[in-house]
Amino acid sequence: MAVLPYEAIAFALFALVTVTSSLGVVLVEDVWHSALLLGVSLLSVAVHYVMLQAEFLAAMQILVYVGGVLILITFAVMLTRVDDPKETPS
Amino acid sequence: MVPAQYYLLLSAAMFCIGLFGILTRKNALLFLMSVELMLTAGNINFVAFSFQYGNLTGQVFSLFTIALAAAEVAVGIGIILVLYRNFRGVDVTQATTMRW
Amino acid sequence: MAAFDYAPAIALLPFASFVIALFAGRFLPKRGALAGILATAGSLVLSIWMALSVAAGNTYNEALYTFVTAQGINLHLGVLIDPLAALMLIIVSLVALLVHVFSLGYMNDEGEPGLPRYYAGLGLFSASMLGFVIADNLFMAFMFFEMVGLCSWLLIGHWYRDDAPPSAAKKAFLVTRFGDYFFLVGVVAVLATFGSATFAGEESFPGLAETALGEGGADAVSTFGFAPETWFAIVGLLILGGVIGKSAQFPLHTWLPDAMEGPTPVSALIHAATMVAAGVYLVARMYGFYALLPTVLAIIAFVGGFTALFAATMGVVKREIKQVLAYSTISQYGYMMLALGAGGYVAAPFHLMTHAFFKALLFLGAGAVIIAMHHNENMWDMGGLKDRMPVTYWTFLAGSLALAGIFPFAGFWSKDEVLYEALIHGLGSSPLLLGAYAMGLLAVPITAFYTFRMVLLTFHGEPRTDTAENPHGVGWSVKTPLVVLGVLAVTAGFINMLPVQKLLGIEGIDFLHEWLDHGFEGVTAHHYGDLTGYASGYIGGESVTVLLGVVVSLGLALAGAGLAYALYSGSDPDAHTDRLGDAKTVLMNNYYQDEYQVWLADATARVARAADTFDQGIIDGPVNGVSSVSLVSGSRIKRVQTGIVTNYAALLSLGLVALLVVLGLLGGWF
Repeated sequence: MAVLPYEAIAFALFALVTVTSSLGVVLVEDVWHSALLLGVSLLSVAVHYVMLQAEFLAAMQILVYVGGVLILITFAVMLTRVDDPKETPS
Repeated sequence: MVPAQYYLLLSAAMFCIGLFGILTRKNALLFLMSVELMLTAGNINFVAFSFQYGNLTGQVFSLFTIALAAAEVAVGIGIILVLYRNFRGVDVTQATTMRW
Repeated sequence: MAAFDYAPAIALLPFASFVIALFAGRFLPKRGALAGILATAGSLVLSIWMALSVAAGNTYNEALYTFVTAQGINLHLGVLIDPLAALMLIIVSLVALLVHVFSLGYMNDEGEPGLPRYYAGLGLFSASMLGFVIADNLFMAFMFFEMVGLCSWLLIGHWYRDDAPPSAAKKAFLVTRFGDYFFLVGVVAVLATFGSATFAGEESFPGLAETALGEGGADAVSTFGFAPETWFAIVGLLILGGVIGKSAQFPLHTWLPDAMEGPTPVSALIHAATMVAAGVYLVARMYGFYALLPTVLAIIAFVGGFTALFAATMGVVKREIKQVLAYSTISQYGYMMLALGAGGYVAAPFHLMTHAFFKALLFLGAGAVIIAMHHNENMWDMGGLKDRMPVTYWTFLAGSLALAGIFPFAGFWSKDEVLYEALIHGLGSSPLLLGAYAMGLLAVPITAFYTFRMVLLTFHGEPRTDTAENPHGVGWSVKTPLVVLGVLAVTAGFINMLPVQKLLGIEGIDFLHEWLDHGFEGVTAHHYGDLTGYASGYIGGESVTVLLGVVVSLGLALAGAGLAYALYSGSDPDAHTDRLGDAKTVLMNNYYQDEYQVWLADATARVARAADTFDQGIIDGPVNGVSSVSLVSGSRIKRVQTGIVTNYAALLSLGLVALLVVLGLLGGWF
């Protein structure tokens, strides 16, 4: 199968980004960093969607995941910090 | 045109990373994030096959999965906050009062 | 009919007094006695009203409350008022009223503790017996029969701090309970056979039994593969088990002498009107059923005659006044059973009535003596009480003459009729009845002997102890019941002067015969006479036989009384019982009946222990084994629930992988 070089290069690049940032999510110690890396990972998946000609889905991915889910997770991260005794939950 | 097999490989890799996160980490937030990764891996699968066969059903299914993931995170955060309040932390191995 | 609408109140009034005495007794002036007196007086008034209505020719048979109606079986509470029930109601409520009054003197004045409990027990006892009397079906009768047993347990064990009363109460309860097991099976058998347990009316089981034994009626009831006669005899004998237990017939009589441990008024109530009478009344109530079964009737007659003689011999040697009375009770109820077995449907209630009056009198008289003697019951410590307590003496003497069967006291008429029925039916049809008659006749002089031995030792001669010299006085509450019952003991026999009618030809003075001959169709004395199939035989004509019976029994009674007078009169009588030698030992030990029953109970307990071992080892073993397998495996497997989410996730993943592998292998992916 003939593979167009730009597309292949783009796929390889973003696949690398996706996998690396996903690995980062589960491997880094700090939860805050994990959350940020999850954002990167999800954004790169949105790029994959564009390459698969699912532009609407990509938009939804960014809106819902990065705009909604990730914000919720960062909330939770900030609400449940255990290393700082000043931030106790209400 | 990148063949669908590569997307499947990518998706399998992400799924395994998510599973790995669930099995190795203790932080409940990491559980949540790992689950998100696994769901996204599934989505990639759907979209890849939708592209392969030129059928939009997979994309529609992915939309539902995204909505579901959002709802799941909302509930999950509620659970995590209660966990945090009751056990002074989000370490899932500490919350073992429901065992035998 | 207005009168009968109040019939349930006869039983409910004493029940109300039970509730009042139980919950409010300690706050009442006489500790509940007044409530009991008022309630039983109300019952008596209502009973008399019932009797007047019955005399006017009315009867009442009504189901009031139905528990169960299923598959043709109907369990209900109901009221049946007919001449027999009305007669019994008057007896029971009168004796209960007098016992309540007497208790004022016996319990209240003596400062006994636990009076509210005592009066509650008396109230419930009266209520259960009255409920039993008005019962319109066998099932309801059984319920109240059991309540009577329960109340006897409560009252005999009234002085529960001593050793003997609780044990006697348990014995009374268990021995009668033993009989009641058979009764219960009998009730179930009746329900299963006839689908109805009512005594009278359209669907009454005696009527159904009569139909079934008639021409082509065998298909009407299910007899479980037996011939109808055989099966009915089995059912009759099962119910008879309860009767023998409650009416203290051989071999289940042993509880009754021990029941003397209870307060004396309770003894009077148990022996005269309530518990012991229940058995005889039950047989009379369902006489239409027993009358169909000649074999069972013969057994009843024989057991009755034997018990009459057997118990009388034991009464001869007793030292305690109440013990003598206890054995005389057993003996007299033997006569009633003899009468029932001999087809004397009128004679048995007649003797039941006269006996209720004179035995209540004797017990209450004995209670008065016991008050006077500061609760010493030994007759050898008494003597000479005649002049010191004349009211008690004269009434007690009237009761004794009635018990001994001396003309013209009440006991003479009824006992004579019992023996007469046994004699003519024995001559006419069954030699077995003649044997029972002989035993009953032999018991007559013995009865007279021990009765007058008791009177002479208690009241005559010189006082043998200081207590007898200066007895404790008794009050009006003791004397009034004695006088009332004394009058009845003299006169009650006149309601049924059959010998006079037969000899002199004066028609219409056998009031009780006429009384019991109206009422429901099929529940009358005349109908029962047709059913039994006993033919009458005479020695040289009817009036000769009547005269012969009267002369023989009266002569024997006088002979027994004379012998007692010869042996025990005088100022300081000897203890002649020692002359009996070994026989005395046997009699004092009640023919070793108690030991025999204890041995029997031990043997039963051994069987029960073996059954218990079998049950726990063989039956429970596999069950426990199965359950322990799941228990142990459960306690192992539950360790999976570690509570750590990661472990669950790991197991989940492993399970998924395993599933995939299996599916792959089966689906041929590899």
